[in-house]
Amino acid sequence: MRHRALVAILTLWAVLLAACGTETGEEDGMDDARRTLEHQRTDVRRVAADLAPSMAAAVGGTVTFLTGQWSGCDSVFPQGHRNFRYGVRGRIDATTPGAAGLDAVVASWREAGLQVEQPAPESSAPGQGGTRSGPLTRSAEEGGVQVSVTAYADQEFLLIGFQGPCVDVPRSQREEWEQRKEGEPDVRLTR
Amino acid sequence: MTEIRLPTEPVKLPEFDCDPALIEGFAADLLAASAQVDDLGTFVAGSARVPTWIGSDADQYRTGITALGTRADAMSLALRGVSQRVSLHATRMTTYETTYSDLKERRLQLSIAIAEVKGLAATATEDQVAEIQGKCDTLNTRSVEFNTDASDFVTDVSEEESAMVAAFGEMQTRDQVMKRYEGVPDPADGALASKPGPDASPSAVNAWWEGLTEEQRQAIIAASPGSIGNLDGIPAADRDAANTVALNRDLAALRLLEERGVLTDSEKEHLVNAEAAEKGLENIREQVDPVTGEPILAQLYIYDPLAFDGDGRVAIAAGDIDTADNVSVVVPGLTNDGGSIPGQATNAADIYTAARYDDPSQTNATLAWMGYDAPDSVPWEGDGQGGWDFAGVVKEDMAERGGERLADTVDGIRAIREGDQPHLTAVGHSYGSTTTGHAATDHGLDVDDIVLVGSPGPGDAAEHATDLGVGSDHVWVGTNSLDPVGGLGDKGWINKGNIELGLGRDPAEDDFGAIRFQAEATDRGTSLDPFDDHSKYFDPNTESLHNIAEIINGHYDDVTRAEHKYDPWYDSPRDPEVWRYPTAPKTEP
Repeated sequence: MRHRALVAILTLWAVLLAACGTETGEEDGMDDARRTLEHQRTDVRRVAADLAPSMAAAVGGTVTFLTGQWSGCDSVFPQGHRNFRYGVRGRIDATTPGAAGLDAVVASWREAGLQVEQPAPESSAPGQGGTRSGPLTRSAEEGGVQVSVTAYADQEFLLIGFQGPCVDVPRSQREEWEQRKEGEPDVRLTR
Repeated sequence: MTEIRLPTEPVKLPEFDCDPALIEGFAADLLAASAQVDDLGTFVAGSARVPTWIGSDADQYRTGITALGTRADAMSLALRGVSQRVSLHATRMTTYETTYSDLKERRLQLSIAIAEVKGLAATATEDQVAEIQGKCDTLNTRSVEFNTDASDFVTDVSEEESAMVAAFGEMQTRDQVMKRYEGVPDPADGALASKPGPDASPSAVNAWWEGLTEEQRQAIIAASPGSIGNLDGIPAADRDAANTVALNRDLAALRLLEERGVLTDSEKEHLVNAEAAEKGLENIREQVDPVTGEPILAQLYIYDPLAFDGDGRVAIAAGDIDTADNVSVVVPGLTNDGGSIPGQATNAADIYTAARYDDPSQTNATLAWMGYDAPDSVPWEGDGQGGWDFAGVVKEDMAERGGERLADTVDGIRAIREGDQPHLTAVGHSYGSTTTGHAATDHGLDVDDIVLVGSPGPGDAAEHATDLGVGSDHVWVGTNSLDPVGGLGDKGWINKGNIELGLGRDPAEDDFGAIRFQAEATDRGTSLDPFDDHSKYFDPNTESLHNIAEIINGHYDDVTRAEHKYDPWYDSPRDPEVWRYPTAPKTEP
């Protein structure tokens, strides 16, 4: 019976939420969210354009692509997302790939004054600790943009990423951001 | 002073601005038009003949429509021919784009080098002349070669454009079309005559298809896309080509009716599903492969927008099912139908990205499979329809029927990958996990791994993981501890016998025997809507997506295991995961 009661409460909750309609301050938040995300796009592209060449130089490589896109962060039931972010992805074909390349990029970040995050501690969960060498990742922060680099033991390249934080958008704007398509051009690198 | 012979300047390249994607889109439109006209020909040869109508009027009518049908058949062939020529034009223009780009780069390098050597020549002393002359001669050779290549490029592009114009010119009038195509048999007709019957196995279908000529296959794709677009055993690329023809045909026809304001309700539903499929494909193509930077390939694997009383049956893949090392089939749950395929396609692209990011050495394809009729409503909208009864208790009948379709789809993938089998994983979410369970217990789902996330239960027939037929070490369960749906199958000692909400056992419990993996979200429990925790399993940078990617790639040792729920004698089942702090492993660059 406990489960029936739980579902009844959850159901009532969901019905009330659905009946409530708009969220508090939705009108006010609408322009704020749009402005914030538009600024984020500019910031992320700028940081990517500024940093990618020095990251490539650190591993004696070249940037082979650097492309931006919008994406949803946290899903809401039954579908769609409640927040969005802008990100740029890229790849560096490196002469110093793998863990050494990763270290070289991190060193270049430190030289450039970025706040480098500590690597995530190993999970103590049962079953962890496979023998395969999966992606090795390090991250840093630059002007509110998360910068990351991923290396692989068996690949001659590194993947790089630049992402803004997730920004909640008003319910009425979610569809617009889900469908956002701007034909993002490749990021122009600064030289 | 010895005079230095300077190198020839590279010729200026003409402007070359081309959009092969636009040309390919035009070819697709022509093919869709060809299919539409072919439909008219088929209609005239079939039901339009009204066999029950007899008499002289009927004979006169049939004579009239026979001529119309002949013209339609000829026109369809003509449009198809032009479409194929336009498609070839797009391919060639893509090649010319690359050539042009290379020529531009060569010209730039040559111009820089020639400017440098000119500078050297201007200030050269007598003892430097020989060396500089050598450089000039080398550059001259390169420049002459460049000028020849540039001239060839201009000629090739010009010839190709002329050929393209000629292809159109030959089909400008009805007389031209009839002269060329009247009475010409459609290669599709003969090929379709040998098509295996409706009960044929996917392997038999595949053998038939592989036995056709390329011309016959292309003819069927253009003239009769519905006959093979959703047929298990046909390769994914060909299904995609056929379904794209059908989709474009539907969009063109229905949007025209919409413009004219004469859409019926069922046509509106049809258009909604067609546009959802179009959007789903876009949602995948607008994302880039994290390793190559190229747009992710999208394949329209099932397109049946009128199925299930208008709910629609659609499946879209991110990646190439025909060639991928790993193929995963994602089965959505309640509230989903053909109209919700855009969101499912986004999930498929996120899973694809996570798998590629996890292991770039492997290729992947993830199929968002809305191939069954899922419950339309959620419990609080229970209306006796869509899998829930009036008390909000869920039923398994739709999962049972869907399970059979899912097993057929997987058999189809196995058939097209004969001799080159991929690692195949079924991923069932929510009610989709019940469908997946039934596919396994009732129809021997032929996959290597089964993943159940947010599961209300894998169906009554699955008492234990081993019942799913892939071995308990290949049954994986992800349940967010705050996901209310994930708790529906709990059958604790205290509650034993009272529970009717779940759809079988809770697969996250220890005595079910599956492997539970970590699937908590860092923002669990933060939303006002408790059901949000039911929809986070495919979100980027979550434990769940990371582990699903590891399973799909076959990296079992790298899956982070979670402790099972357990059932103390004194209370309802307990979930240790609720006490663990969630992590956010990266699943994308």
